[in-house]
Amino acid sequence: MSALGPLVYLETHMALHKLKCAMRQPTRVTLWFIFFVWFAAFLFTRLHPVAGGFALALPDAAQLLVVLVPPAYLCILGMQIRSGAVRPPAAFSYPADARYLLGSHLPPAFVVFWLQLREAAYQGIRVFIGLFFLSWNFAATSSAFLRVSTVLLAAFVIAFSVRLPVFLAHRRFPAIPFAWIGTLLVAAGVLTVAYPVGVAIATGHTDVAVLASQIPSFVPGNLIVRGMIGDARAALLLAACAALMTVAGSLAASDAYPELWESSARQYARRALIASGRGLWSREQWRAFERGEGVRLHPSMASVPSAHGERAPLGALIVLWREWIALRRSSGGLRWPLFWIFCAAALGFAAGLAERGRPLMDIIVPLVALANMIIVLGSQSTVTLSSELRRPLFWLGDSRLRNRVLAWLAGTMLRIGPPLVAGAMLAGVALGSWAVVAYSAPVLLAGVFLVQSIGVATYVVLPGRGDMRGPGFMLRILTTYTALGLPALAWALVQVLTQSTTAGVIVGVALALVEALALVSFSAARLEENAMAYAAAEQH
Amino acid sequence: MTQKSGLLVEHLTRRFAQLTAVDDLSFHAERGAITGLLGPNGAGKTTTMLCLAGLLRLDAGAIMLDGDRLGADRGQRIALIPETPDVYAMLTVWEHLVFVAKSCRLKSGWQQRASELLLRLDLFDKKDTLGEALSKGMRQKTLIASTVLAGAPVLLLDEPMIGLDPKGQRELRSILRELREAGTAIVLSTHLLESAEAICDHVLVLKAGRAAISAPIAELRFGEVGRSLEDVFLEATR
Repeated sequence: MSALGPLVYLETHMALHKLKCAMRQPTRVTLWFIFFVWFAAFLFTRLHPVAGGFALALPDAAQLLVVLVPPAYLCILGMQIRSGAVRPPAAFSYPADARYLLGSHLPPAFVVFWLQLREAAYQGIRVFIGLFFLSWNFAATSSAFLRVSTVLLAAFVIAFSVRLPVFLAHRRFPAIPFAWIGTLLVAAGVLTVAYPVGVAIATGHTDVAVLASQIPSFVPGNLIVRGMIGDARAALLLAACAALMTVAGSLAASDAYPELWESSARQYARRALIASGRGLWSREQWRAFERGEGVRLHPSMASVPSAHGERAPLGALIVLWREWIALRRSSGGLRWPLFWIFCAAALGFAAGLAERGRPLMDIIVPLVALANMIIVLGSQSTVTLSSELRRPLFWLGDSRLRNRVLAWLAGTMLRIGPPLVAGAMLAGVALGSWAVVAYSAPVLLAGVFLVQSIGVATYVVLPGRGDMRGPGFMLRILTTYTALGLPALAWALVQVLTQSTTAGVIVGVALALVEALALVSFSAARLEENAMAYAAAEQH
Repeated sequence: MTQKSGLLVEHLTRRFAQLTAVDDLSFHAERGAITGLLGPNGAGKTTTMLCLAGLLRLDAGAIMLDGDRLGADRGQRIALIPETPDVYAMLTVWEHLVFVAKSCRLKSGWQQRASELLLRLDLFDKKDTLGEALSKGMRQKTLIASTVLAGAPVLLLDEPMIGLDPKGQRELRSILRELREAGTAIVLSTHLLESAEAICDHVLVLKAGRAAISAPIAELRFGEVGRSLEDVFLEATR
C-alpha cells in the first residue's frame, strides 16, 4: 500500500489549501459557516419533522416516472457500452495528472482505481446535496433520502465504470460488436416503453396506472427502484456491483493510460471551448472534435455575409443584437429555436387538454412542485461570466455597465424565453383560460429575468465554482424564494383589494422587474473596475 | 533488432482519422546527447512527443530504451515537459516536488537536490506559492524542477524556452548540459533554431510526419561553409 501515501498526500494537501484559501477571505468563511449551519438545521428538521411537516406532491403521472427507471437505465447502460467501444471514460480530473500521475512510479491499476474513486466521491456529494433539497418535494424522511442517494450513487458508478471494462474487452476482442450490443440495449429500453404507450394511444386507454402496470420491470433498473423504496438487499447488490465494476476495471486497466489520457484531454478541450463561449454546435464539429481533429468550422459557417448594421441598435442594446446574431448563426440557424418553441407549444397544449376541467388548485400545486424542482436543480448550476468579461468588445462603448449586463441577460433569454411562453400560452388555449394566455408572457418573462439576475448577483458575491455549489447555492435558493415571493404576495394583495387580475399581474410583474433591476445594479457596481478579478476567481 | 543504448524509435506511426500525424518515423536519441526535434507547425513534433511519453498509443512501431521494449506505462521512464505547463492549482511548488519524491520513491537526501534546483531556477522564494498563483514561466520552472528531480533516463521537452525569462533560459540550458553529461537521453522540440544550434548534438527535422533530415549537427554545418541551421531547415521543409 506504499502507493497510497503519495495519492493521499496529493488529495489532502489540495483540500487543505482550498480550505486555507477560503479562510483568508472573511466573507467566504462567513458564508460557508452560515451554509453549514443552514444545512445542519435543514438536516435536523428532515430527521425530526415537526407536526407532520409540509410537502409538495408531484402529480399522479409521477408514478409513471418510477416504472420508466428500468428501461431508462437500460438505455443509459446501452449508451455507455456504445461509448466504451470507442473510448474509455475521461478519468483524469486535472491536466497536471498527465505529468504527475502518469510520470510517477505508482502502479497504473492503483492510480486508475484512485481516479475512479475521486470521480465517485465528487458525484456522490452532488447527488447527496441535490436529493437533500429535492426531498422536500417528495415528503421523504432523511433516512429515505440517504437510502435513495446511496442507490443513485451506486447506479451512477456502475454506469460510469462500465465504459472502462467494455473498452478494454473491445480492445482485446475486437470481434465482439460492443457498439451493436449497446445499440440493442438502447433499442430494447425504448421499445419497452414505446410499445405499451403506442398501444394505449391507439386504443384510447391512457390511464396512467394501467399504463404503468404494462411496462415491465427488469434488472438492473428494477434494483434501483427496489433499493429506493427500501429493499436493503437490492441496494446492497447495486453497491456491490458498483464496487466490483470499479475494481475489475481498474485492475484490467494497467496499460490503458494513453486512452484514458486522450479521453481526458478531449474533455478539457471541450470544457475550455464551452467556457470560452464558442461551443461545438453542429454534428460535424462534434465528430471532427471527437476524432481529435480539433475545432473546425463548416465552410458555410466560417464565412457568412456580414450584417449591414443599419438596423443595429445603439448603446448597450448592441450586446443584445450580438446575442441575436449569434443565435441566428448557430448551426441550423433559427431551426432549432423554432423546433423547441414548437415542442413546448405541443407539450403545453397536450398538458392543457389533460388538465382541462380540473379544479385550479389541482393544477397549481403540481406546477409549483415542478417549479421548485427546476429552481433547486437550476440553483446547483454554476454561473460563469469570465468569457464575457474577458472579451475586450464587451468593454468598448459608452453605455453604463449596468445597461450592458441587462442587455446581456436579455440576450441569454432568447433561447429559453420563447419556448416557455409558447408552452404556457398554448396550455392556456387548451384549458380555455384566456387569463393564462394573456398573462403568461409577462409573468414568465419577468420571472425568468429575475431568476437570471439572481444568478449574476450571486456570482458577484461568490464567483468561485466550488463556492457556487455550497454557500452560493444557499444564497440563490433563499434569494429566489424571497424575490419571487414578494411579487407573488403583491399580486395577491392587489388582486384581493382591487378585484382585478390585471392590476395584480401588473403590480407583480413591475415589482419583479424592479427587483431584477436592483440586483443587476448591485452586480454591475461590484464588477466595475474589478471584472478580471472575478474572472480569475471563478477557478476557486 | 539493433541493440542500442538510449531511446530507439522504430517505425513510429500515429494517425488521427484520415490524417497521418507521424508516418513511419525512426530515430535514435543517444544517452548523453541532446537531440533537437525540429519542424514547421503541424509537422508532428508534439504528437511524436506525446507518443513517446505514453500519452498517445502508437498505431504502429516500437519504442525501446537501452534495448528493452517499452509498454504503455513508459511515462515512468520517459519524462515529458509539455508545451502547456500544467501544475496542480492547489499544491505549492515545494509540494509538487514532495509528490514527485514520494511517488518515484526517491532516496533520502532528495530535499537537498530539490532546493538546489529551485535556487538555480530562481524559484526558491516561491516554494510556498500555490500553483494557481504562479505565472506561466514559473509553472514551467516548477515542471522542469519536478521532472529533473524525478531523474528519468529520457527527458522530452516540448518548446521549453517559451515563457521562460532570459535567466531561466540560460539556467535550463545549463541543466540540460549537466543531464547530458550524466547520461540522460534528451529530446528537445523547439522553433528557436539558434538555441537548438547552440545546444543540440543531433538534429531531426520533421516534415509532414516524416524525417526530412536526421544527422549530427556538426555534419550539417560542415556541409557547406557559412550555412546556418536555419538555412538547412528552410531548405529541408520547403
